[in-house]
Amino acid sequence: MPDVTSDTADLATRNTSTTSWSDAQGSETTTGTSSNAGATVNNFGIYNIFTAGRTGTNTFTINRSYFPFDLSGLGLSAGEGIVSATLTLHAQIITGTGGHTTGTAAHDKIYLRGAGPLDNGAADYGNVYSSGTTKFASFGSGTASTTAGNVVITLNSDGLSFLTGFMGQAGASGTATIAALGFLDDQDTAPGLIGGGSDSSVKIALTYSNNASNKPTLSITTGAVSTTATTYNNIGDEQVIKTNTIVIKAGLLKF
Amino acid sequence: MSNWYVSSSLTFYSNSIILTDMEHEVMMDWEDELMSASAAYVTENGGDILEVGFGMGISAGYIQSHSIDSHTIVENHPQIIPKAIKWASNKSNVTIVSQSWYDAKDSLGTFDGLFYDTYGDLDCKHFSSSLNELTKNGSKVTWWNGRTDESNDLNIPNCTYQEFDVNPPQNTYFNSTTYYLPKKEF
Repeated sequence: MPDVTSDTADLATRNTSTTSWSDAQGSETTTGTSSNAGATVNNFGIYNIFTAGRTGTNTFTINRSYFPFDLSGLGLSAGEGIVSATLTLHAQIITGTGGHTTGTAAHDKIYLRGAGPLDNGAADYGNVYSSGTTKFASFGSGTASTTAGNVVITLNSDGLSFLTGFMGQAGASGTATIAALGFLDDQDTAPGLIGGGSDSSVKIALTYSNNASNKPTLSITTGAVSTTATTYNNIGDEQVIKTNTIVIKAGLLKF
Repeated sequence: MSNWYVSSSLTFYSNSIILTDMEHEVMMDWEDELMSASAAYVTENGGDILEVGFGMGISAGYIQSHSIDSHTIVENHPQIIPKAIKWASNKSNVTIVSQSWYDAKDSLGTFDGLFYDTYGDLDCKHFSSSLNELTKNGSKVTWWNGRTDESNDLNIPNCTYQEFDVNPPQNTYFNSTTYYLPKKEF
């Protein structure tokens, strides 16, 4: 089971808006208002909040973190695939003024998604979107607590498929980037105004690759994948199936 | 109530005030020209001036540069109050009111000019309806305006707006290149 720690290009990015939550979320092309790279720990690794700002102009704030993993040295042999993978993040919920307001158990979770390759700056803010405002697939989630500790998140099949595409690829093509989001950002749910009677906010500290003892770590288990042939007989004309790239027509099909 | 802001820690730099717990800018010195213009407008009548929010003290300095009778400053953040008191220590016409403007409004009196510039102020929704008891006939009122057109978040009607070309550094409260300074005469 090879373990890969996050590349030193990992970072937190921030965007703010005085207009709307969706404006703060942005799109694939949105450059954030700031970024924080090179930290050992960042109390604003994940941040979702809506606060009263300057003289009646309120502010939506979102922080997302991105973790790139170099998988170029992890080639797969013929018949091999990723059997399972976990991402371990060292995290802590930050409460107090401007901090985390626990709403439901879902609020306390870190949500993982795929992401595009990093430029290592505020321009990376929108990398969680594959195009426009469509996010990369969700890879799973894990619960953080107010005590600092490891959150081990088991990646789902979408996560495994995503990682497989980078395994053993040369150069930048071998680096898989995973985004860590807060509940309100992941679920496109606008937070309530702090102090307004329906407070809801997410604030989770994360560690990064520069942390000596708590680096974000991707653990991958590879192994043989099924090569058993399956034969489908008597596929009728009415059973024609079309996928993105394969058209299966009536007749005999053998996998 | 704006308790969350009052209990928030601020970090003071030579060119800005930052809300430490959120890493939000509260005020920055790029606003100098806007503070000067705001002070000039509210002091056009001279007389008694009310300033809600001391901040970096930029507008307070400009208000003092005009010919006025009195200058009342309302400030409720515990880290800014001592700075306002120190600033006022050699100014005989300045009164510092160390509490929320909304809690104090019934005892403040009426004014010839009023500049309103707060942060984290959930009571700002009451500002428009409070103006009748704070102003006189002919009073001139302006406030920080985060809107990027001829409108305002405080729902104060019948204003005029003076445009200013600005070039703010990236911040969490204003990133447009045109500022619309609101002017309201009673």
